[in-house]
Amino acid sequence: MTGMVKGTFIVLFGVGMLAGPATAAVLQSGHADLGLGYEEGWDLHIHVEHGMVDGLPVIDEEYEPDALIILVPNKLLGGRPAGAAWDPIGNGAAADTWLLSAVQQVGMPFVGIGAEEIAPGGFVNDELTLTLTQVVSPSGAGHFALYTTDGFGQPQFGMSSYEGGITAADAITVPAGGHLHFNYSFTELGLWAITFEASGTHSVDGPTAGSGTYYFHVVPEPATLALLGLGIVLAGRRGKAR
Amino acid sequence: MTRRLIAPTFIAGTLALLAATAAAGPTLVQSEITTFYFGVETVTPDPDHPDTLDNCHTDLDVPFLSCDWRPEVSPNDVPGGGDRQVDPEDALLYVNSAARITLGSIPPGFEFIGITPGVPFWVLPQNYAAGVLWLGFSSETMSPADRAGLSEWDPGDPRGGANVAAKWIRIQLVDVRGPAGGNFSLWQTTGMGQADAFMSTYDGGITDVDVYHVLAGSHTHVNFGFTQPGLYEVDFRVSTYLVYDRGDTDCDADVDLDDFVRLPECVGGPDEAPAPAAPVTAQNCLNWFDFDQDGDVDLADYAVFQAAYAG
Repeated sequence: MTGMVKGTFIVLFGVGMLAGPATAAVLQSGHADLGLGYEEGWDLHIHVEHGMVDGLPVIDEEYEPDALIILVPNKLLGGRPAGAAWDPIGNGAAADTWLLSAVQQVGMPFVGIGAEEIAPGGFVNDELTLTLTQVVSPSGAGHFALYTTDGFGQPQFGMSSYEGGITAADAITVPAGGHLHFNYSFTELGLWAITFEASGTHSVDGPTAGSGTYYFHVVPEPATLALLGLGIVLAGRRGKAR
Repeated sequence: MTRRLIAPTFIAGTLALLAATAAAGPTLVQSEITTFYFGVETVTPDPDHPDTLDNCHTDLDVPFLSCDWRPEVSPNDVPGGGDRQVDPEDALLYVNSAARITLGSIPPGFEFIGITPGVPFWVLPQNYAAGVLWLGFSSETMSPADRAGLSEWDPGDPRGGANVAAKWIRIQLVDVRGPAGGNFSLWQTTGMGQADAFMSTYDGGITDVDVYHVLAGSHTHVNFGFTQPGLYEVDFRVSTYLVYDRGDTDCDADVDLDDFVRLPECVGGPDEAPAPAAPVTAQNCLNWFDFDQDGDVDLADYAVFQAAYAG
């Protein structure tokens, strides 16, 4: 988006602390993956499988992490579920919480974590680790978590900026060649910058790690961005996925 | 499964859609009944279903591909194995002992599984877990052109958010043949920890609400529950709505000679099921030419076809 439109953004949503990417498109809905690639070094990106970006349908495109802001328009009805098992979300029971769901919902982004570009045998045990290393929330006091729910609805947290702060334990295993879906929770409105480090033992290069910062914009309702009339900016598009 | 929770909106949505199909426009296309075979701690290999799928990622593929349903079993992400396609008849979806669970009490909201406290049951989980089959549904093989041929429709089913207009594929549970006392269920838990129970043979038997709607082109994972060991034969029928009119048998946006040549072998008398030669199926004939949706292709349908024929 242009600097002018971005200014509008900040005034409307009170994004004070965080200066977002200078030029970025917005993923409004559809299936995308935070892509973990490795070609003589790490390549963290966003792979839009099929989705709506700045009001246009996009199929099979890759973006740099700072070239695509992921919209989070889904506020949990009734707020955070009760029970200590949910504490890693970082707020109290019934508190306002926004979610990117592990289950696809029409009209909302559906964001997985994929390492489908990494061939079997490229990494030892075909295992990659994705570690949370930094969370910059709109107010500085918000919390981010990544979790699944099991077959009986119990949450299982892979990452949380709340419990014990961010440590090396805030990590998940991603199978090389695979693709997983998680719930991502946010405790306040506004623009978030979240940094992950991908690591693993490469079969030729040995132990290796690389980082990427992704941007999430938590908004009050799905229609808000459309009302802003965001222009079509595709500066970050990298072309068809390999 | 009983309809008490969702029936009003669900039925309303279905009726609205059926009314729409009576006119030109969204055209209901159904698959044949497809049977998937689940072996819950059964003896393997099973000579009737020799391809045992265990401890890997597998999808039940339900795509509408090149103008027809192509149900398949698709093991993928198998270390060193790559992707392949298996005829559902040949695949044994294996539920091993690591999928066996015993609960001291039934969590509220999960009664539909049909479990008894302290008695083991089996779950293929919605999340990846080492050691068990990770089974989902996929129609990712649909091309942009395949997807473009589908109509948007609203199933009116709040479960899984299927109460907005989109290109949905309906997976209807038709029948389950399993061990004595064995119940089959299919559900998903949400990010808030609540259960969306899509199918349950325990809760009120099999009815038209034992249905799971997935988005065309998507890939999802659910929990599959079983309450007794043994072989389960699970029948699904998938359906969706096309933008093409009925009579357009090749989905090319017209009703012409290419479509007309398929008519003769489908036509029978009133109330006679079509009996075409393979590979055309009776269900193909009904999808193509049963304009009045009465289970046959007769002169009444032929009259409507003639009116639609553009040459």
